[in-house]
Amino acid sequence: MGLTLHQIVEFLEAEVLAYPEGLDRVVTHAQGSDLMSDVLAFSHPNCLLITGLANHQVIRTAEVAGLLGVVVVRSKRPAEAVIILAQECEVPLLSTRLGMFDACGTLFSRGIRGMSDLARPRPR
Amino acid sequence: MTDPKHSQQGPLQLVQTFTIKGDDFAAAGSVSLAVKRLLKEVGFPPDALRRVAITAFEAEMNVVMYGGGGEVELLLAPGTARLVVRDHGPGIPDLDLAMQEGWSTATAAMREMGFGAGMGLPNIRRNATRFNIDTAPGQGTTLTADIDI
Amino acid sequence: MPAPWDGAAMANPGSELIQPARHYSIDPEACIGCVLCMKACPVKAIRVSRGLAQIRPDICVDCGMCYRVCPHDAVRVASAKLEDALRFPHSVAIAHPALFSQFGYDVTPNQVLLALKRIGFSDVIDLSWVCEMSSVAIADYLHSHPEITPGISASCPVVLRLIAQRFPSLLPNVVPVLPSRLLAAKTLKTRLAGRYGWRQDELGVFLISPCPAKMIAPQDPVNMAKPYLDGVICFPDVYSALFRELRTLEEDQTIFKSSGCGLAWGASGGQAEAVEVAGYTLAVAGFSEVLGILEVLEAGRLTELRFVEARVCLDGSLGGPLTVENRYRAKSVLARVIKQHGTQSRVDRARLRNMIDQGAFAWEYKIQPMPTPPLAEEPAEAINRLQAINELCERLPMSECGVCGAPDCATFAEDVVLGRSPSDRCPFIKASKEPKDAQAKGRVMTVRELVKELKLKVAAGKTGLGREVRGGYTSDLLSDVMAHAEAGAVWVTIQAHQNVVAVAVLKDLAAVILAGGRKFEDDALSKANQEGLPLLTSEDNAFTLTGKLYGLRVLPSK
Repeated sequence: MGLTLHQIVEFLEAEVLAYPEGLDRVVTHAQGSDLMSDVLAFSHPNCLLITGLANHQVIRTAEVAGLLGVVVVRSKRPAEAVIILAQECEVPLLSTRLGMFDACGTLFSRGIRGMSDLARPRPR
Repeated sequence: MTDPKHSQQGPLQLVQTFTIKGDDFAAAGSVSLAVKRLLKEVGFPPDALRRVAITAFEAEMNVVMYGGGGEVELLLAPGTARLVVRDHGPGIPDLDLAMQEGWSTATAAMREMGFGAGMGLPNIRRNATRFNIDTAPGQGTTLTADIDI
Repeated sequence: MPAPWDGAAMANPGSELIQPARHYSIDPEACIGCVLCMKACPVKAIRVSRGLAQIRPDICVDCGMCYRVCPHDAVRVASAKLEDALRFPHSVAIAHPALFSQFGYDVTPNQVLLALKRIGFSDVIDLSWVCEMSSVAIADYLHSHPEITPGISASCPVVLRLIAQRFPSLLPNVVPVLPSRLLAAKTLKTRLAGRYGWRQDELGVFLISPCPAKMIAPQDPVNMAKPYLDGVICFPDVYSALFRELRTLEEDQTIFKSSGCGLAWGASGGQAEAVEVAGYTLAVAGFSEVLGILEVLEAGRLTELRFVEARVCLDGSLGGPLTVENRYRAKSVLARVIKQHGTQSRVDRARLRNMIDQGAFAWEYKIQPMPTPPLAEEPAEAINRLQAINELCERLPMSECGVCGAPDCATFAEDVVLGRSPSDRCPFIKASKEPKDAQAKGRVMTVRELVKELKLKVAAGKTGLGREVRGGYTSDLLSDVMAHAEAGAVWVTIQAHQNVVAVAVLKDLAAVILAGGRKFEDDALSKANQEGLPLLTSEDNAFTLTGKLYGLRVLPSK
């Protein structure tokens, strides 16, 4: 179940910017958001963050929430300082030329599920 | 029922797929009538036609009443029609019980409409030449019925 | 004495009993080659080519729908005229009960019968009297054949043809009681002629009828020298003569003696009422309704029924194609006449019993099935042709426009596969099925369809639900949407304030979906209503919503 970050790099045609050591992690859920307060409110470990932002906040949020990794969309290239921070915090950081819509869509079609599915009780 | 694609008289070809809407009693029966019309065009003789129509109708009603909707695939080979009726409903917990005449899990509302006499699966057994039911609780039900001319 | 219904006569082999339908034909001078009759034909028997409609006689069932709809008077009716009848030294008119409904509330059946005599007929027969007798005969047949469930009435000639052509397995259900008009004609020709002292060849027997198809006599063998009925004269051809006569009629005789039982046969439901049988009876009228019932009966259902009266004309014979009076008024008039005469049958039961036992009502010959041929005689070939038709349909627009000269695309596909029509008759046919990649390029949906597919709620901007959706865009950064979103996209976001509306309108987006079960702010809602921009909400979070939207392949996204 789920995909490794290696596979996700392939499917999203992404570039690995930081912490390649973490690419063996298995991702089952993802969250697509540009508002970090929102990410924190609904976060859960074992989740991948897909975002259009590429600043320090994103990395801090990912670390605090224990997220498996961060994918930055639309070829946004984070500043060097951000990449170094991600490496230090052991947060795999990927950049894809796909937009948020296609990135989320691609992963959804490959079986990755949204966050609230974890939070809600399983239907009978 | 060994080979899913080959019946005794030659390779089966998929000719049409139909959708059944769950709980839609107004449309219930329309798929089995469409199947019958198609088989008439192909030259199915009247007795076989009636057996197909009854089999399809009972299977369709089960999907409407209990299966929450599903699909019907019609496959043909010279001399045989195969119906594969699939739903994603709750599945049949006790198949032996369901095959008994008169056993029914119909709601009061369904009985009011005249359904739920418990004759559906027994009717299929009577009219199909061979049939097989694949079902498990929580996994839906697939009925495969062959009617030979 | 042999049982009346199982007599030797029924064992006679039938001959080609039902002649090809020939009572409606196209007048090539008047026809302009429009598609109205082709579209109206319920059995798809008409094709239009080179500016002329043509009726396929092997499929036509004589229902007269083409005649009803043609605005150019281009459908000719083959029926007899008054002069044809009066040419005989002796002529008898058989008056169909529907005739009594055609002259309004103040004209009685007796007057109509007398008027018929006055316009030149030597004698007139009230068919409703015979109908009363037939009701008893039908009941008797059903009583002695409890295994027939249900029996189907033989009186509508179009239904008979439908069954012989399309539902031959139901032929054993048709009640083999002679249709009343034929019993009357037969009796006239074989017995009464002699009684009057007339030679058979001097006698012309004509039915005054609401429909030309009633000429069809499935019991007349082809090799019979003379048919029982010499012709059918439709109501419009005697109407003015009768009307004039009725104005000055002296009612000096009483020839009408029937009750409402037989009169009721003129409208739908009358037969089912009159046939006294233990069990359920059903009356069906209208072409698609009759087809529906026959389909269901053929599928082995409705076995609790004992008798079905089926008529292709809405409201029965008084709604026939060749009537003069508006059928609602006719129904009302007939109902009043029935009330006046009561529903107590007046026929002599003892004499009737005698007639039944003598086999007077029994068919002389069985009806042969004339099934519409299947796609091919050889089953494997038939399946191949079916697949070929399905494949061809995928290259057709399925818009049923009629330009190809066939009533709809599926029929055109069948005509092509069976070699009846060249495929280039369709100007819209695609050279090949669209390749999978082209399909992957996606489809165009409206916002309304999207709402349905994704189970969204509409919070504002209902007037914009018809907008086409082209792609999706997911972002919570307004500057990003301003820079990159494309017109027609659906915007997925968790931002709920009115600036979202402003941006969406500026970028000409199709709609905005607020994810995660959130609610739009009131300012946003009112602005969206003003602009006609659909604001939608979803319980799903942005990732899942995007995933589902993406899966719909709503055209290119970047």
